[in-house]
Amino acid sequence: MAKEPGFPFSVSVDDSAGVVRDISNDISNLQYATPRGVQDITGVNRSAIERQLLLADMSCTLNGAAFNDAANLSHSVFKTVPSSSVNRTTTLALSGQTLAAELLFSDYAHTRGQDGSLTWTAPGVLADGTVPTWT
Amino acid sequence: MNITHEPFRLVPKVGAENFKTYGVARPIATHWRKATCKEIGCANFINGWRTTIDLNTPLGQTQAKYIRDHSGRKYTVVGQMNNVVTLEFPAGQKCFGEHKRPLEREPIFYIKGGDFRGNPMGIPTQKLRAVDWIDDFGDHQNKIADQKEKG
Repeated sequence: MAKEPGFPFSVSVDDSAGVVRDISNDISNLQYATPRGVQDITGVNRSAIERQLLLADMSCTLNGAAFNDAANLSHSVFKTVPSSSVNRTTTLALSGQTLAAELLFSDYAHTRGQDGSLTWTAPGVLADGTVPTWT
Repeated sequence: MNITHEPFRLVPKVGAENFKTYGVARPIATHWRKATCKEIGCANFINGWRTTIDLNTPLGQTQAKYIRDHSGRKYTVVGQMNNVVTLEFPAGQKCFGEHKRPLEREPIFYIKGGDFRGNPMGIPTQKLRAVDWIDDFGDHQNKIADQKEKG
């Protein structure tokens, strides 16, 4: 297998106007929570619709290492979360593979640390019911 | 003391035990370095900025003393009323914030049980190589897509 570069992933999120912005250099960590599988929920009291909803569910959390108000970077992208309800294409690219999801971000929250640091969190959920797959 | 609050989230219809989480982490302590305003493209550095200081408060007095005696930054007083002073700092100076850039280090790729609400099944966290993490994530999402297709 070819050696991977030391900085192998990128994260892009649409701003409120739908323009893709690469915010990789602001992200300290990210998580995608995805359904474990249909077997876990097909109890007798479950309906097919509930199962479909779960299968199409996914949440994502992006965390930033620092407040960055430079043009077209994280603050520029997420500052409109409280004022706009738009689905944002969120793309994780890694080693030639891409995972693109249409997400609705519900917050852009900041944490002021004791050391003066200012970090942020942007949680999102799958917005369009399409299961994101790697391509 | 950290000033924190939980971000607002849309909570899934089913419990955390039905989810698994794929994560990529670059911990600040190990994967980041300090960066200059110029590297970051800091808006204050590019455009200049204004700082308003309330000299009626101990904090404001400390800020004023620091700016005047120690900061080494150029500024002009552009407003003063009731001991509240507004200073204008021209562009091209280091702002009062701190910036960071990621080091070129391999992030930590992991899979854990549950979601942001916790890990009720107590499934241990796995750390993987990037290529294995993508394989696992890819297979998992394809399986879900297939199941959804079947209905």
